Amino acid sequence: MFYSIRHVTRYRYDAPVRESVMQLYKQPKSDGAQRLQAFQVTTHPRATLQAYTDYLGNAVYHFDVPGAHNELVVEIEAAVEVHAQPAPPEWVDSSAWQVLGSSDVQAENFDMLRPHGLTQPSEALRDFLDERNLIKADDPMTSLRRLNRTIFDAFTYVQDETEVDSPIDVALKKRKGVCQDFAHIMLVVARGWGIPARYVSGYLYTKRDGGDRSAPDATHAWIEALVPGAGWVGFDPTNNVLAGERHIRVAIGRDYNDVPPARGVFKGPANSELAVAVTVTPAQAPRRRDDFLRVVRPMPKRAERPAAPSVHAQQQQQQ
Amino acid sequence: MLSRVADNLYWMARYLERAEHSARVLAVKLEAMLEQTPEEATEAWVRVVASLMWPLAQPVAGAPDALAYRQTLDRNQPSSVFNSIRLARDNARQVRELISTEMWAQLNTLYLRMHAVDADDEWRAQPVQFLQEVVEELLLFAGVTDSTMRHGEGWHFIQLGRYTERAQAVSRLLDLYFGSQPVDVTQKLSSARYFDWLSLLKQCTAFEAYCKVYTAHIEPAKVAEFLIFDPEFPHSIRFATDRIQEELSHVAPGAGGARRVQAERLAGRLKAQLDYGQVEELLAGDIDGFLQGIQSSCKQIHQSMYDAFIGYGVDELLTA
Amino acid sequence: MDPSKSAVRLTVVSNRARPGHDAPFAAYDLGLAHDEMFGQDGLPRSHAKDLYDTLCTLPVAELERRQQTCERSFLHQGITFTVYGDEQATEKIIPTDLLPRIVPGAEWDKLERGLKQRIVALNAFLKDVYNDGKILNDGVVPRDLVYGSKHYLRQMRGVSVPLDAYVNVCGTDIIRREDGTFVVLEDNLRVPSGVSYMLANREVAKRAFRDLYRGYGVRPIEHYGQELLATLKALAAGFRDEPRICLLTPGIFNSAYYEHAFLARQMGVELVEGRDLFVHDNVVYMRTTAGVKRVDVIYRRIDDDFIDPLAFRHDSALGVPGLMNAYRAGNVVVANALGTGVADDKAVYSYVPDIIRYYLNEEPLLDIVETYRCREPKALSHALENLDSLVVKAVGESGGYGMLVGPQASAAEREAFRAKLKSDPDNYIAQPTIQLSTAPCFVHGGVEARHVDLRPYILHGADTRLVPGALTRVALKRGSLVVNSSQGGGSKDTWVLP
Repeated sequence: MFYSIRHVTRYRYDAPVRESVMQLYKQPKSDGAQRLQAFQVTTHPRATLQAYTDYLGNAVYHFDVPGAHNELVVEIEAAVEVHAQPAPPEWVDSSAWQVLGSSDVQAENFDMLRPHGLTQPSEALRDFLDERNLIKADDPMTSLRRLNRTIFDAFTYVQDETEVDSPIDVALKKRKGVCQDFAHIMLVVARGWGIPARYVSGYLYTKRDGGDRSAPDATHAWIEALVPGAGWVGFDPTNNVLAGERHIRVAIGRDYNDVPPARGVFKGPANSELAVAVTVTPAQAPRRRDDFLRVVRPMPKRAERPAAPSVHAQQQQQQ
Repeated sequence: MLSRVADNLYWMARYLERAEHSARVLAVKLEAMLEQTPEEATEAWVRVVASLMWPLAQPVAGAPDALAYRQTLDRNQPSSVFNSIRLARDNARQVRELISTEMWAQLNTLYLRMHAVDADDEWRAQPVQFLQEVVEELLLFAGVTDSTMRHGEGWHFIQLGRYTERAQAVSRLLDLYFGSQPVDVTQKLSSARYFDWLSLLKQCTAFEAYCKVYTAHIEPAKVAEFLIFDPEFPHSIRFATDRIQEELSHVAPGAGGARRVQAERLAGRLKAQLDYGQVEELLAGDIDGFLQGIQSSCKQIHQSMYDAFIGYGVDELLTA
Repeated sequence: MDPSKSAVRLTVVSNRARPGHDAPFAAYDLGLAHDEMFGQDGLPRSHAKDLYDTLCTLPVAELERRQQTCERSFLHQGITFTVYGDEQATEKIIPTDLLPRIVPGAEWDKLERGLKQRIVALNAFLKDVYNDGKILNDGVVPRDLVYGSKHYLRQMRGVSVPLDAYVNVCGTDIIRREDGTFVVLEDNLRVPSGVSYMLANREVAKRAFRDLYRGYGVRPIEHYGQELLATLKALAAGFRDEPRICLLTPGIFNSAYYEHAFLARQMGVELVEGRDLFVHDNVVYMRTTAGVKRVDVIYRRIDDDFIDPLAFRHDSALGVPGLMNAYRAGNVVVANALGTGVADDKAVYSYVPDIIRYYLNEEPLLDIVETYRCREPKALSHALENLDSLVVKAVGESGGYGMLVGPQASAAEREAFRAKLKSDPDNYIAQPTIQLSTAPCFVHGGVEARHVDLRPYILHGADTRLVPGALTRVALKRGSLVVNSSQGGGSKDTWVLP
């Protein structure tokens, strides 16, 4: 399959800000079954893009806008080819547990086996596992499939109930959430079972009529787990599927905070509003036009602005 | 020089000048009260204190002593002498490595004295004495600064701060005397009015200097001429604006012409106004507007100086 | 053995030395610890003899006067640290003791060799764990110890560091064991502080004991600023002949601000705060009145976590957004490098002798304190059984925090620590309680013995160098073993003899 991806992020400020610095995890990977054919980042105001590869092999772009601005728009366009892969096995040999316990696997996957940041075990998670009677099965593959389905069954997909970086307990208590929450929960459980597991940030070509729950036109998140005999297998608990031809991988990390699609810092006392739009279309399909920005984090009312005027500002007032 | 550091030095000097002006005005007023009827005293107080206090949320009222205390030692009064000195010291602390040890020691000692538990007792016993000593310590600081610090960019920022504050403070004070009621320059002064004008001179530490030029014969027109136009008296507005113009040409030596042109133009225009102004014309015309014009010119100069050297947008410089 | 029984009281000795004199040593107790001035026979050691004689000749009132002069000098120079109370922060002077601590030249030279060996090995270790990880693959240091350390920065993996010099300024805490040998207690590889007190102590001690100082021929340390500057300059040699260097401070509210301003002055470099700097296209600039200027080397005194809100703690208002990007791109040198804290972790400490052997193929010249790693079951049970005689420390902490001094702790405190040890053994190590050596200090109008340690400052870049001197920290409370200034410690000058 060929996909054309367009991802626009727009920040609006209610007062001019300056010295914005921003970093992006938005470039689709070019490895495994996936090939990146074209990739382009455009910013407004214009900025010089810099890039590097982080320690997990993700491409990171960053740039800064020194002058005063009221709006910052980042637009990426990518063309990606994803090959169909043979389906992973239904199950693997139970000796896979021993392989996972070996010191080589443990050493190589140190980071993907330990709780980190948003993937901390909790009381609420233990209760959830007890309630669903979820324990390790005979082999890792079967265990993970069961886990994938259980999360899908137990949670309702609802936006705006959680934040992108909420701890898992928020979703666990509400039994509602979105892809990041489900991925984080699955990571904690898989790692607790001794299965190396990593967070995947990316895009999904959505098929609502095919049973997908994911909101169309948004970034997506799922997980990959290391299954001896099958390699890294992608599980998408949001949609109860294994990652396949419709999943476009962008970055891997220990959790969301390792690979947020965009993160930035600016100077100036202003509130910001974030609007995001994503389209993933089969490459031959006609592209949609620009009327699709969705405000995901509106500007707070003026009064809510945290009062932290700079020393300069304070001194100015005393004239 | 780092922009932040220049800003700290500039504000240190402004706060110290503010403290000195406040302390001197209060000391003179407390003493002048003795020659006035209670009604006169209260009326004069309210006007004077109003010119010093900040912020001015509601009309100033209260007994002179209480008001004087509030403007001197009250920690909750943002404009009090105590707070000005505290803020000056806060600014000085941030540039501790750039000012001389003697300067720091002098300022620190003064702050510790104002901060001491017995400062209130000292004040109650002899308020005028207390204020005069504060003024003396601040004068000493100015002297220590001139003789122990390199007269480099930092020193020029200090001077810029001091004279910008001074030009504003003196013009505000003069506005109280000349702006509100028409002054009959030919009028023969009643004794009460005489003391009022005498006290104005003293509030600008100008009585002795005035006498050397005009003898002790006090006339409002001459007082105005002296405090506005005298080219050699350090507390005249003209002297201060001359210095502002001069100091602006010394700060930020590496900054290009384009960046400094606005501040220099404003300062030059202000200087010309004072170089060629005449007191007769002023008193016959709009002295109120003139004095307020000086204050707003100072604010504009401050702002354009700040925009050029301190809080500038970095983008223009990066592309240049 | 009961320490009080073995104590020698020195009254007799000092009376014999100066019969009829109001001897200042009347209350000097010799305990179990090694004493810097007196041998076990109660007689002054040969290198301490001149100091001893001087102290016996001077009237106490004169010592009092000199002590006051020295304190006044500290106060006037603003050699203070900030203590935060409820309403207002107060500035206090660091207690300073007048009497110099004397280190014979030969002992120093040996110590110096050991310290140099150590910093070279620790730098090799840092380079390895942020690149190939050979020492981890070879199983010499456990991988989880390194990767699990909260000071291990994954952002530093594969980042090239000028001259492979990660730690450029190191303050190593040294103590003397009861037998008089120097051992390393702790390495401070992140942002070690205190060097300004070393220099300030020298200034006052030199004035207080002019003749003695000249007579001893004490080795000078005043060139520390130059040495530091040269070390920093060399780090930029690859891309800039005359680099612009600045010292990055968290600001005046930091307790070590005095030192930051002092060092900036000593080196003649700009003292900057995060808000003075910004990054554009991977280059760091500072805002000056004459426009923006490129910065090449940053001697930073801000912790890793706070240095770049984009890369690390997002809520940091002290740092410079994008600094890590500029650093990764090789456009600015940051000294010390980021992520050095992984090597001064207290659990890694116990592996330093192995680290030295691994990289240098040499035997360590300096001992470390015997350390029980509670991550190992045998060590843990030993620690739990001997809590009353051991010192227990949390591995990632410093400055005397997260620590239990067994012999001095209450039973309740020990029980609390027992629970902590059991629930999270990986996070703790235990060491025997060591009687730090004692040195004469002027207290309560006389000379008494107080426990001291020694913190030399090692500079590492194109080469490794240290000025022959150190900060001697003093536990001013009688009998106390805690020398940290945050916990009532003071300091004194250290005289290294030729």
